[in-house]
Amino acid sequence: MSVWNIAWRNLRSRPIQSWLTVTVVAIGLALGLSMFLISQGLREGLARVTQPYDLIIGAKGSPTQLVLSSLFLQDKPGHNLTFDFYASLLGDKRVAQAIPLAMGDSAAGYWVVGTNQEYFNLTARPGGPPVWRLAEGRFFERPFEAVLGAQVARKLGLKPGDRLPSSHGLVADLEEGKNQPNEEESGGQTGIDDHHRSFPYAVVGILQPTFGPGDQGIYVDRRSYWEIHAHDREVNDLPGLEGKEPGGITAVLVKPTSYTAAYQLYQEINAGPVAQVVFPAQVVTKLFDFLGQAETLLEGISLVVLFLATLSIIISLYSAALERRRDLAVLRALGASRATLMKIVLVEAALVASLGSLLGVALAHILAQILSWLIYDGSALHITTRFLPEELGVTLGIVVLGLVAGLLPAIRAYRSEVAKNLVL
Amino acid sequence: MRDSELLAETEGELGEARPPLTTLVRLERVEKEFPGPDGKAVQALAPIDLEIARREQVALAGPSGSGKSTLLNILAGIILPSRGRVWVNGVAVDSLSESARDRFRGRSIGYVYQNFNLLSGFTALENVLLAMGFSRAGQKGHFQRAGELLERVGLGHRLRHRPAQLSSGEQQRVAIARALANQPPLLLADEPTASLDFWTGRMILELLLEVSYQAGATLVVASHDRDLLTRFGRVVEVGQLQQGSRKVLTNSVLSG
Ligand SMILES: Nc1ncnc2c1ncn2[C@@H]1O[C@H](COP(=O)(O)OP(=O)(O)OP(=O)(O)O)[C@@H](O)[C@H]1O
Ligand SMILES: [Mg+2]
Repeated sequence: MSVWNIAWRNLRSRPIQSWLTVTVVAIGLALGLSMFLISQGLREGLARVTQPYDLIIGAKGSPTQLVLSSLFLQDKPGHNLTFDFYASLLGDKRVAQAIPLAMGDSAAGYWVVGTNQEYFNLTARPGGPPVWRLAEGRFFERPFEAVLGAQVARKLGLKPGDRLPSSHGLVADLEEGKNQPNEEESGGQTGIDDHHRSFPYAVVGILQPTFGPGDQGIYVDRRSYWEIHAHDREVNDLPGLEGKEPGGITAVLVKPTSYTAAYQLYQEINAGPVAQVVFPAQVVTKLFDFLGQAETLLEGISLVVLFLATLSIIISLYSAALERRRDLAVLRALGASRATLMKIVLVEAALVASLGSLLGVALAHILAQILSWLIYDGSALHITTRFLPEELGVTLGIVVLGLVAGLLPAIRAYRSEVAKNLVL
Repeated sequence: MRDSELLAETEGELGEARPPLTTLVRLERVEKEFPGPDGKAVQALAPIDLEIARREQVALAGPSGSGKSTLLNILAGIILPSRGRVWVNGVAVDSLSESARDRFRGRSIGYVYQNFNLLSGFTALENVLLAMGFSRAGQKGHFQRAGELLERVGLGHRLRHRPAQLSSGEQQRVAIARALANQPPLLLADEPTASLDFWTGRMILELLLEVSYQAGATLVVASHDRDLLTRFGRVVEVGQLQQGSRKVLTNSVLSG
């Protein structure tokens, strides 16, 4: 019988102790690793989302809110810009492209983004393929035609030719302080939503999935907004539109002519009283800092758990070596050397650590996968949690840690005296 | 084959005169002291000279505390004598390093104990295989041989049972099979029947005598069971004040 065989049998002969130790190792590893996987995925995902957008201009306020609402469709939009301001941007020589975004309404629980056809020409890098591609139908051509993000179409089960009732997200949401459009509003059964029935969107196209938050958007001609809110003004029963300038523009995606142009715009506009300019990549970097803090915390917790895991390996193997003094003595009497006994204990430690780390890696990926599903469901941000090369190193590290933890019990086994422990 | 191998191995280490090949065990003025609690040495084994031939079956008799177990442990290379020389199968056991004694023990000694000393986590078959693992013999055929050994001690139907699932007599049978695992030239047994009821003890003793004879092994049994001693042609009284003359020492006490 080989040393491996004996070590394995020893572990199996005290299953509760062994499994507990394996579990502690696995949890220690899984905690840290899953967070690492998720934050790596988040970094990649967030960076990917901001790629097509050089500058975003919105009303004065929180830059994070501006990015989160217009790019990630996660936050309620801020105040509107005036059309004059938008016109001045269009006239600016430093602006190569200015795509308007009108936001604040929702339909069927998803944000409605009013824009123009230029939006669909955005590319992740200059000269690259367009970000938005049609899976079905066509892009909108006139007001009240809607192009649905992939997740919207899938979740609502809509296809070109279907109708989509519109509603205002802004009033109710701003008052209730909600970030997400309200599902109930989309029903539009009675009361103030009744008049929306006269402005249903016609679904004309479905986008291919981009695995970003944009998959949760409903894209319509900006003029739809204007007309709906013109109607509001006529009905005149919706409060809270002050400062919102119905039909106005919530944000403008700006492609500057050059790098210097970008910085000039950034400084000029931010110095003025009307609007703010944001580099989305910069805002996302700030989010990374926040992520980094969370990571550090979880890494700390993970290290503590791994320390406990090491202790538990030491304690479990040491007590086993004491408990099995007689067995060890018997092995010696059968001709096993001190070194062999030491090897057996070390192999036990290595087995526990390897099992624990394999289980930990598996657990980490399961956790990360579940988290990424939750994130995808909530934000349409797709996070890939593939195997990272670091994981192999971590696994090996844990096995080495296990061996180190096994050293003390191994030395205990090495030192045990045959004659004293062999009950004759 | 096994003998010449061992001889070749020890020749380098010793290079001194060896006892003739018909002798398996030879003790010259072997004694053992242990440090007592007050620091003074406590004599565990009074000086003894002893010669045992190959295939001989010898009983060690003597009152409790006379040093029977100590002597067996010295023969097995588990402990070293305080003084004197020990040869087993041509090997000067007392001059071997600890790891060399481990190897020697794995290859040349089979040991049966009063309380069996089986490993509780392993089946009968595995307990036998375990012993094979520490000898130099190749792995091939281990499985079959272990099964045959258990069959020889009458446990062919209990291969997969763990010690806890076996009666004490059956456990001792497993222990005997395990002791024979590496075809050792010397089989030691320390009170092999003391934990068993009378009839089971007799059967175990007969089994020991029979299998050691069949295997061509020398058998040394320590016991203070007078009844058991009658089955041996030679009984060595341990612990008597012995005066060094080999004649006196090898003067076997025949009881009966
Ligand atoms: N490791 C040890 N340390 C100190 N004294 C020891 C040790 N081992 C044995 N002795 C002592 O040596 C003496 C002989 O012990 P041993 O076990 O060899 O006797 P025994 O003849 O086998 O007795 P029994 O018939 O009771 O088994 C005893 O007095 C015992 O206390
Ligand atoms: Mg004894």
